[in-house]
Amino acid sequence: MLPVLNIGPFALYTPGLILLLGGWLILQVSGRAARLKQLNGDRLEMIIFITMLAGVIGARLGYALMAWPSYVADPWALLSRDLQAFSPLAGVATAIIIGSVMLWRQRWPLWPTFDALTPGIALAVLTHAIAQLASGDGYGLPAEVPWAINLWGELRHPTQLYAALTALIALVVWRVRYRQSQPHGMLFLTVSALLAAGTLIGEGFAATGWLLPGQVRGSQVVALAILVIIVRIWPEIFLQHNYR
Amino acid sequence: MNKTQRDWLTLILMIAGVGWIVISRPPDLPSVTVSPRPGFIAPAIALPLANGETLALSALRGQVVIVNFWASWCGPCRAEMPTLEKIYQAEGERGLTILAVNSTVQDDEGAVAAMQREFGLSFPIVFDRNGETGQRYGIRMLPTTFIVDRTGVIREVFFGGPLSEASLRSVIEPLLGE
Repeated sequence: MLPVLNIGPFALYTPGLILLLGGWLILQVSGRAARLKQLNGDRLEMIIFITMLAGVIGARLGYALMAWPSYVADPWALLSRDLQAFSPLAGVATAIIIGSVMLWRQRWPLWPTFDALTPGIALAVLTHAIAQLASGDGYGLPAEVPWAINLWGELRHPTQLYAALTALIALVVWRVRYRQSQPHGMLFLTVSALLAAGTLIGEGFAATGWLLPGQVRGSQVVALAILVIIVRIWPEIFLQHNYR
Repeated sequence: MNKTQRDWLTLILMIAGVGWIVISRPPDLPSVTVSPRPGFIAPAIALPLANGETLALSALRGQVVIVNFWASWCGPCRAEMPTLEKIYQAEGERGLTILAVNSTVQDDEGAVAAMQREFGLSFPIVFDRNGETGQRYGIRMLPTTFIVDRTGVIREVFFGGPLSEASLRSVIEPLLGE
């Protein structure tokens, strides 16, 4: 856990640095993956950059919306340097909407584009996990398993490492399969299923997170929904492939 | 895979998934661990005021406490002091207080007094002369601000500053209502 990194007289917010580095890597990898798919890599990099920027703005606006009386009284606070005044959920939702609209308006082919975005998605999960490890957020429930880590005088599940491991496995699978001949979208669905399964299982040991009524974790519900959707649409893609 | 097999797979997946989600629900237990992070009991603070009296964080139990680690030479700390004073004045009656912990180990008490006069600060300022309290809170950046609820549990940590009034209010408003 290293939320703040001291370099000489400077104190840097480590999770912010990790997110910046992760964002840069996602841009690079997505551009290359797009070129492999005969898509315009430079254009995709630009779209992802704009999407990320929209995500940051959406995260700040989402945070402000949740506490709107305070921000109505002091609108300049929207531009404040408070690193914690962001709503990640609102940011992700904004990024998905903006990115989808841009891709749709520019008529990008659906499944090849998803395939090009696949390594970026896995990298985003890895970046988030490492940033959480640095900040100390997203820690696990108390545990007695041999691989438990000592956090604040208590042994706990290393849930950030579970998420990182899931993302790494997904990246390895992508790396092994990305040059193989397969139907468009298959790589995206394979990696997405891996990430969803890892989240469904790993989040079961998390002590923090978005809780729905009945103490049910929202992340697990979303992961299960993604897995079910993938199982349902998987054969459709195969059929499409066989037909071709 | 034919349609029947797919339906069975979906059903098995849903049963296993929902089962795991229900089994693995986090226990709804109050925090008992002391740690300087959200969701945990705030580490103890018992430090001297300028008049020599000791003020303890535990004495403020029942109030929402903004614990602000700062130093007089730190620009962002100075910049957020008027905001802290304004909130302290406005919300004191609703049960909000501020415990400003001066990192005296790297500051000068004369400069602190001058700053207190300059900004008209009325909230309590305590002196962390040997840096032990800062160490207990893992302070690596000034200012660092902890929002402690009425039961003594840390609910938010702000690294760096200056904090805006809106950001602070977005966190303390729900706590004042608890």
